[in-house]
Amino acid sequence: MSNEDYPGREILGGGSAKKVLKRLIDGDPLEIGPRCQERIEESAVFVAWDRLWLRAVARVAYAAPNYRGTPPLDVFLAEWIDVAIGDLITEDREEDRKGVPVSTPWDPRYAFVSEQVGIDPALARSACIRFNDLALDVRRTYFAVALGKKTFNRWVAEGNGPPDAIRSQLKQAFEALSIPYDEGGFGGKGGDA
Amino acid sequence: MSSDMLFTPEVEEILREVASDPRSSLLKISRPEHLRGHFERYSNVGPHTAGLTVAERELLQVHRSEVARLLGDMCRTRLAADTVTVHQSLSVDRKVRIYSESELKAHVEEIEARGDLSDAGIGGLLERCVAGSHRAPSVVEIATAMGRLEPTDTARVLAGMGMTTHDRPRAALDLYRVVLAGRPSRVMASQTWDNVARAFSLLGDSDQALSASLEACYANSEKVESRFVSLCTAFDLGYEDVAFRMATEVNELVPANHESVDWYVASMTSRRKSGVWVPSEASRLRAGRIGDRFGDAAGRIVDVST
Repeated sequence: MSNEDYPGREILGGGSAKKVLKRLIDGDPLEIGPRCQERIEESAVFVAWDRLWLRAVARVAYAAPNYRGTPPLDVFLAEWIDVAIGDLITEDREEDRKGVPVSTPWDPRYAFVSEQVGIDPALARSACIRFNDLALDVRRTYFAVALGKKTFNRWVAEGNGPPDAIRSQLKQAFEALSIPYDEGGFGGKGGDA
Repeated sequence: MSSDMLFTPEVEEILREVASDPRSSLLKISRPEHLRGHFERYSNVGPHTAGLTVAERELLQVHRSEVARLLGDMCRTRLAADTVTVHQSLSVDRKVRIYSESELKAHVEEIEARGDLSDAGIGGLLERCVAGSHRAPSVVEIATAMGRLEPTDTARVLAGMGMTTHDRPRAALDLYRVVLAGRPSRVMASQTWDNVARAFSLLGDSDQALSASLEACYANSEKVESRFVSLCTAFDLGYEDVAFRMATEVNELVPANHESVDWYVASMTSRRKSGVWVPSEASRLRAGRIGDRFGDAAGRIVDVST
């Protein structure tokens, strides 16, 4: 395969990021939308699928002019979707810090989390931010077991850890969804500055 | 499942256990009988529905984000190049990629070719960064520009590190206080506490430095570098119980020949040779008494710090 002949070249090759963006939007030829859904599930994070799709398309379009087939297309797209996931997690955190009003109930993930565990919708964004900060194995257990993909016993049987460890992970996840962090800053354990 | 049980019984039991904690906000509102799936809630999803204009705005945001990333790389490169504060690289990331001036220049040219940066006032700053002139912007200036483009805790912490480098640890502490009050991620909290420790250390307040360093360990259970610092500080201050506790954690996390240990030993050796840091007499005496009881990786850390 020559440098100029690689999967996805007709979409990603030739032209500016803006031109690539137009091609990517027109019918989602590289199936970035479904890939985003897959990456959300694999990464086990609460990010908005629609926002992620939009950001991932922009990330891929921006990176496209430097792409020549390496890494393979699947890896290339997954890497930039992951970057987009990181973008959105950071942006959620900054919006929360600034006190930007939550778009609940219009943001589907906040409505989902609120309904699933019975927390006030206004607290759902902070809950999602804390959840997304958990270790990957904890998040994956929650997505698998609590979001109904697998039963508790099957998740254990598949070698994801002994029952007590899985229970502990689920407890951590519920705590993250419902219990605010201690107030940061000096004066607590850190003492006065 | 019954109307008030959206999970399987074993998961529901855990939910109720956590909900019984007075701090918990779980189960404070009624739940629906049937829960619609997360992805089922998105209708007409996709960039085509948002429209090209919205997508182009995202592209602009990505561009700004890439410029911010480049500015962050510049800050880290400058901080790591400063031999006096070389230890600060601990607080950025031991594995952070350090760019040469020519690499940075190439990145700047690529970024400039991508779009107009004049509106953000960044173009001139980038040129000054790579021009090698006496007008080269400071780390604080670069980090501030980074934060203007994309306000993040990373930008705030880098600005704080720049302040510490320029003998302004108190100003840096003010900035770190802002970061910590915003409930940062575990990784960022740990990184910030590491920097708080560094600032207190420069202010000569070793007890506060140790407290902050222990907070860094508490925030990130896997970050061995924070434990190296806690171990050394506790040992130096004569808090032997804390030092032994840190030693146990260090030895559980890494073997004696781990690259992080090599890096820390090299860093401390360099600081010692340059005269930036000198071990205390009390520390040396303590090492003679109990230094051989730390074992493995912790033993190397204690050895180099005394």
